[in-house]
Amino acid sequence: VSTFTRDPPWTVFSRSVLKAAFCSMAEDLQVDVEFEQLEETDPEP
Amino acid sequence: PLQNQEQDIQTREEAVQEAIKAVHFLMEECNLSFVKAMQILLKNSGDFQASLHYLRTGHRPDQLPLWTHEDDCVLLSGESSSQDALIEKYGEDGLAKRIAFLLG
Repeated sequence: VSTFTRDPPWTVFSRSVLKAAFCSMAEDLQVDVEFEQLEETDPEP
Repeated sequence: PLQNQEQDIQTREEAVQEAIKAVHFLMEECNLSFVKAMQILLKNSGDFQASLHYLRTGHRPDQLPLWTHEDDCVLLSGESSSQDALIEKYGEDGLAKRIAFLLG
């Protein structure tokens, strides 16, 4: 039996869709960060 | 028209639900925090496949860098002289995708 699994097929999400997803998830996960804060900082390498 | 509006709302809601699943996938697959997973998607102009590739290999499939906040500011300033430097860094296609993402 092959254990190979494909990666999910998602391609590109728009900013507004990601923002709506962020707001929903931040509430569920009780994360106190603004969406704009993520945009205004760069991830550490 | 009302039916079209309802369809648009449903389509958008479905897209949001798919984005939530995608963020959860990145968190679990790459052992990331919610904030980091979301930030990687944002800096890859919402491109899930490029984000996943970046997280697995340390670079994007097209070898271009992640977008920075500083470059977003330059892009949004609309100064044509600065656009050339952005095209050199991200390519014309990357620039077009970034504009579409920021406006989307």
